[in-house]
Amino acid sequence: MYCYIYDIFTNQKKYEKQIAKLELLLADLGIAGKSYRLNVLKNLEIAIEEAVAEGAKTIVAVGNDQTVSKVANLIMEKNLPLGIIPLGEGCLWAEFLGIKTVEEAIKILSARKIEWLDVGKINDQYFLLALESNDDNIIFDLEDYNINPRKNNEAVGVYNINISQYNFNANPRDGLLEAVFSPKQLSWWQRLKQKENKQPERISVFPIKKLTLNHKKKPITITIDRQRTIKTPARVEILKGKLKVITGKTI
Amino acid sequence: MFGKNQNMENDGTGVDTIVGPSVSVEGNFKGDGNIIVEGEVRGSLKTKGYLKASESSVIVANIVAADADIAGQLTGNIKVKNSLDIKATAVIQGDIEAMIINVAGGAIINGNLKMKSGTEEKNSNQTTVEEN
Repeated sequence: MYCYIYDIFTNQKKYEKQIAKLELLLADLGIAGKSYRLNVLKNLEIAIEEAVAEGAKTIVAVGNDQTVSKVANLIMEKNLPLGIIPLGEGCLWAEFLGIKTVEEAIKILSARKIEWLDVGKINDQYFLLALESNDDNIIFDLEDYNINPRKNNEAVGVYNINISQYNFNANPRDGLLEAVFSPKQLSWWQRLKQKENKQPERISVFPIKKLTLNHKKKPITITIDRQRTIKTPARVEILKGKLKVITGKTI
Repeated sequence: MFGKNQNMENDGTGVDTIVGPSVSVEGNFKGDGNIIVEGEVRGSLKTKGYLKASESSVIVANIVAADADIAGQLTGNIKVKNSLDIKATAVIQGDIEAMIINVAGGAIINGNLKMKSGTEEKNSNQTTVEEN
């Protein structure tokens, strides 16, 4: 049985038509299952517990990256496949899986192509996309060696999937995370002032399996999947093939 | 693994690790793949793949690699399984061991050179290779 978890924001009037349409499409394809609409009285944990107790074989998050991340954190140990129907702003996870529209998502759910993807873990929380910070007081401690960003970085991150603007490969099936340091790029005015036409500085990329995120002086804030935060120090590791995901493409 | 001849110059294709100029690495760095160093490394650096240390690199470490191109500053010994290319801009303070060594004119090497066959060993206190 498919169980659909509708995030609380999908109760807004602007999503009414889209939800009515998607429910019709689900019924057409015979995968209507059971719906759980989150509200102030019904939180996600209760909905997942109910779905599992009623024999859910697939959990589908209806919402954005925040919805997927919250649902994934709760079903990680339950060995259930996770589907996604993207609604709202910020659907990078769905986009990565080749799911751009509600209609596409429903066809993909029906086709049920399942892949086991890597999941990151930071302390006791799971993450699907990335950990990011713009504080260069961070230290990446990899037991045998440390990586220290210099003052000229605009962003540092640990990526399971490349959701950044920078060009590097991050494959969520290789059992590795990519630690990335992105130097500040010169503005057009600074470039103009330079006598030599210098190439922009290259980003730094380190494939890693586990590390500790530390700080130089004061604890710094790390953003998890662009939605929640945690302070350093924090232990990070990759869990290979931890999550079963219904995907629209081969990853 | 990746070959040395793959396009590693511009887009980083075939590269596993890039130590850019905006980071410094301290400790015993060990990798399985190809590495580009444009920043600072202190400690030791080992890889089963290809190492490219660009002109801006500052390495204070002993190096072990399958193949290597050195164009920056290296203080430490370097041991290369196959081929070592020392570029004109390289400044190496340390001993060198490789099967094949190419040295460009202008490179500065202070240390012992040892070809891996082990039949010949050449000592040099200061070797400055002149342009042809």
